[in-house]
Amino acid sequence: MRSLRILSSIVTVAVAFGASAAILCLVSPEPRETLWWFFVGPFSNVYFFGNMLASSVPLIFTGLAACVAFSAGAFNLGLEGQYYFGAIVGTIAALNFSNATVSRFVALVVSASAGALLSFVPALLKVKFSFNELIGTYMVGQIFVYVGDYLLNGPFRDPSAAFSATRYLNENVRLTRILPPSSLHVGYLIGIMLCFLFYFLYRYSTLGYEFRTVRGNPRFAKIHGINVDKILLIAMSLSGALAALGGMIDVLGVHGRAVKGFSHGSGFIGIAASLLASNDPSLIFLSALFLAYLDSGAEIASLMVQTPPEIARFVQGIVLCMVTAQFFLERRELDADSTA
Amino acid sequence: MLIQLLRTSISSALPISTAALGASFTHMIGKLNIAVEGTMLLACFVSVYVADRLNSWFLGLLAALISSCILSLSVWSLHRYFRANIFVVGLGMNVLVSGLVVLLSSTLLGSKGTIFFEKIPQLPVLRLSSSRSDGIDALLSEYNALELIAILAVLFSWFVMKTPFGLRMKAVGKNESVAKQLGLNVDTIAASSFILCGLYCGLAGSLLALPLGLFVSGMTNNRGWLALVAAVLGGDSPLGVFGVSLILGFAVALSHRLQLQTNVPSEIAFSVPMILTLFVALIYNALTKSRKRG
Repeated sequence: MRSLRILSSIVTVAVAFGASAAILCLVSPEPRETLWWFFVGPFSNVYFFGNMLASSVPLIFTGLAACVAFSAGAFNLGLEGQYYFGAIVGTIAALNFSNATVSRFVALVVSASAGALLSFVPALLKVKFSFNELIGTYMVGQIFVYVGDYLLNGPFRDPSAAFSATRYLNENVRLTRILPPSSLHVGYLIGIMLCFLFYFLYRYSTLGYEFRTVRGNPRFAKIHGINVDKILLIAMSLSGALAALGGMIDVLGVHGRAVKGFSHGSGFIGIAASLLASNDPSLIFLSALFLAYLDSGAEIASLMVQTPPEIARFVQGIVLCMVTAQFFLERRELDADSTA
Repeated sequence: MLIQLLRTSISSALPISTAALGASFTHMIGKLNIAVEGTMLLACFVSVYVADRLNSWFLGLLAALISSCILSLSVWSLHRYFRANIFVVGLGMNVLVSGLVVLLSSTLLGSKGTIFFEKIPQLPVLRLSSSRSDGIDALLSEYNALELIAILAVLFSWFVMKTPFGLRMKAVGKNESVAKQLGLNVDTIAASSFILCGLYCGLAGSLLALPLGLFVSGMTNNRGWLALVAAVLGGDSPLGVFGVSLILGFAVALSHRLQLQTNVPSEIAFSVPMILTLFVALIYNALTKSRKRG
């Protein structure tokens, strides 16, 4: 079963590659050159390679965030809002402090708490009033995307900027770069460390055990003496905090300030990252890398030969459509009653 | 003033309510199709593009209906035949279409921004001959052909639920394996409900794009998600879904008005439908809960 699942992932990746190659051939005036830049471009030099790794960082965090919610059997559709709004609030808070360490600390704490709050409220509505969590998280998230836009365009806009953005954070607040010409920063290592941390917590800690039990069967968990509501609230808040941290680290590491629309759908792609890794925290940095690879390939191809970078969204959509599909099922299994 | 606001509410409610009814067909069989936003967006593009090329709004509408049916059916097939999680597939379709329409518009039309189709055929408009523009007849006048079709579609959805087919859809939603044991062809029923969803979403998309004769990649602007909220809140009753959609349409119209006529920042105005929807959903939730308890 395990090997079939891996085979299924390989088919997903292969179809994604095939589809992107086909569509690139169709839309590009110079197909061969485009294909080369799309597939090989991210590895062609240190700059592109580092940027690809850097663009996987937000996906690692949002993927981990999605995974934490999934691992307690909950869905967090508000990752986009938590990511975006959390990072904006964190940046605004950090701008008030001159000391680098304090400023960095404040940024992380404020963003994480803002993100946690945005997912805590819908989770509370679910627990108290059994309000559909999909609708709740999504709506609250979207509302705060707009609020974030407002903050960037209104009260906290840098008057000297040509577009909606905050002032730049001090150079010494930003995260250290690793591969100098590119924008890769230490946030990447932090992300990978968090992946493994969550893997061990999920596998070997009491909380992880409770998460797994709640996910498997909430009623059994309740009978077992686990406070199911509490676990749900913890999972959702943690999920929101992680998503927001991802946004903040992206700001600290790459952009240096919060810019309108910098999230680029990272929240939704994070869900794909988690599912592609079959919700295994220790694999999320790899699936995030794969999705970031598609993104950077498309971006490089659009730089080098004129192709629209939106091809990446198209391919990511295909990946999302296929990640949960199971391609090697026996007939018997397929016909079994399932309403899942 | 109020009449005008109500009139624009109806116009902005129609795309939402048709999409919501489409989604409610799939909600009814227990497999909510969340690709509504993407399906509408694709229909927006296809309808204006084909209408412009073939110089006929009707062919544009037809093409939009066909393309969104295909999209909707592929969501269902991925779920049925490859056991994909229907929710994730829907999310994927939304992402896929948001990329696809930009790809299409930049390769076919050479632009990624707002595209105006100046030569697009005008939709016929129903005008009631009336001298007064502020009376109650202002509410009933000036509907274009698509809006009339949408109103018919709303009535049709109410009618469908009275037919054996509608009841079978409900039965499948209530308990799939019992429905199967009763001899219902669950697959056919599910596929037809997804086709219906595609048709309604296609109509909703054309309703957004064809009257304006333009296309932007952010055209649907979360209307698909509002439609999903309406479908979930309205439950099995088409009239309930329509009622919730009317409230949402009012919220959207209000948000446009706030943007145009007050100093409310546009970002806040954009979020008004969302906030209102959330509150409606919460109140509705609280009411149904207390009814169940009482």
